[in-house]
Amino acid sequence: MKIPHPDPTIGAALAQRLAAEGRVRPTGGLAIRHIDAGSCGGCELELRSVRAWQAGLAAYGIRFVDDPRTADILLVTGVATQGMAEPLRRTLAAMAGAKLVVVMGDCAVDGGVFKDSPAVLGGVARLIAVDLALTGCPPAPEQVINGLLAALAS
Amino acid sequence: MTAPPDDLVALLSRAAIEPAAPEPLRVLTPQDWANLATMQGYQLAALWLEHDRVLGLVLLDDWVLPVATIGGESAIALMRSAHPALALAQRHGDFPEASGEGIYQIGEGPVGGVIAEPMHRRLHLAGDCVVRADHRFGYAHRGILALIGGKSPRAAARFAARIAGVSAVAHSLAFARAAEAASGAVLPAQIEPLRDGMAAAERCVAALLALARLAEICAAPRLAATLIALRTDIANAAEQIFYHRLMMDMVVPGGIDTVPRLSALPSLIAILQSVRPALQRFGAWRWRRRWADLAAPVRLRVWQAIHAAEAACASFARFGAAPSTEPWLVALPSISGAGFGQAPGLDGPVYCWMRLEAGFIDSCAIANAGLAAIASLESTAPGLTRVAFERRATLLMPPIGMIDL
Repeated sequence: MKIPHPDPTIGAALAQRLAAEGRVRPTGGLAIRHIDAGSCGGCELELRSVRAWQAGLAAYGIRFVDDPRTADILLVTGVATQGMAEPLRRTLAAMAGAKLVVVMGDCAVDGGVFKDSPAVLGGVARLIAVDLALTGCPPAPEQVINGLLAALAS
Repeated sequence: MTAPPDDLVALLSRAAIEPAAPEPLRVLTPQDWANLATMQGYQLAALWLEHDRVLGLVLLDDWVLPVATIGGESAIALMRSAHPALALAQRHGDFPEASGEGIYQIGEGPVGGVIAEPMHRRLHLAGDCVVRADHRFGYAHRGILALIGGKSPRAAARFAARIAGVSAVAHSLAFARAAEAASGAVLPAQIEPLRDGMAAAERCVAALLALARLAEICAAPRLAATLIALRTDIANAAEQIFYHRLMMDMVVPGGIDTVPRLSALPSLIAILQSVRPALQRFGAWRWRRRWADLAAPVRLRVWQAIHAAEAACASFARFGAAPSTEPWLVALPSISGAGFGQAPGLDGPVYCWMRLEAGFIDSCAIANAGLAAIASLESTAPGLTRVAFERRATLLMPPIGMIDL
């Protein structure tokens, strides 16, 4: 399996914003903590494809971690449900140093098809500041990798 | 407060059912599950599904336990006929404590730990040995059944498709069949073989993903990558044919939503035919040693993947052998009625019951038999090492979307 070349347009706005805010990456790479805020699991399926490129991603300094305290990026999938609001805030609060929030999938971006449900709050941006949004239902693995590489380039 | 009928046994649990005050749902204790597993005689009955505000169903073997609200305070699992299980009825606030010298607890998820899913797992451990395992759900309650209510079956199909991405076709198919049964719609002959093939291809993907995850945690990344690549190929082919990598939103009440691009169907069949040789590596001794403690579940998943791939090929062949000029989508009659639909999922059928009022959904309940895996996981946990338990959970745990509707 080959790592697709990053699309320079994806995440360009993120790169500019990060440069403006002077955020740094303390680990020299990107450690990603994934959290499911109420997903159907479709985005996770594509994320599994991304994680299968682990060896290739490691060359870029990207790795997935289990502990939010060691993570640089919080990758959120799924609509922000009321039940996950507090865990999501706590996860972000547990992250040290630079905190980048990437939301993946239409549900995480704006609530998707669930936006009208009283059981959900809507997009993740209703709870925490979002730096990069990867749209799609679900986004293709190449799109996710391009977004992560753009974040790394920042 | 709505009282349950007298001949029902009520198993109370706290639930994330009220949007204003979501609370984690803990359906039953492992002991409850074990006792329920020994009970006989229950059959799915529409009576319970007609209960006020049915939210979902819990299944255990042939047992179907509708989860409904009563007064907006609790969730209640309703079970037919009186039984000593009534004595087990209890409210679940805190996790049950396992007592004993040297026993300690570890919590995982949803904030930290290896669990990224919206659930909490509490392990009682003695040394490295699991004494008790409990799961708590409800964090990801999305109000799907509330969204479905009041809509036409066609408009509500997108919610059923997004209950769980790994079984999007199965849930859509059960939902569509329930709506078609309730409305009395008659489908063109070519629809069912295509739908069956899609559902089987989806089951194959789900089994491949479970095996890939197991290979990852068993330090076999190349094997995992091979399986993921196979899944990715299937997804790419599915996108070519059905315009979506997970085949979402194609199966709708009344048929197929969009005319599929059938010229790409042979490529999907070719990929599915490569599943069997790809999985032969799981029989190699060097891999077998790594999951010796999971031989039976691994064999099951391998068999499921191969069988589903072959079933998909057979269904697509049936579809190809019976070309038709009939429409892909028929309109559902706007009538009142109730219907039951069923579709095969990876770990058992997906059930859907629906009642229509003048063509709109008045009540609906959806359940997946795969939820019984939670009971199996909890009841077999004692005595396992923590690593062995995590492996088993990786292989058997159903998607949270199936639980938190």
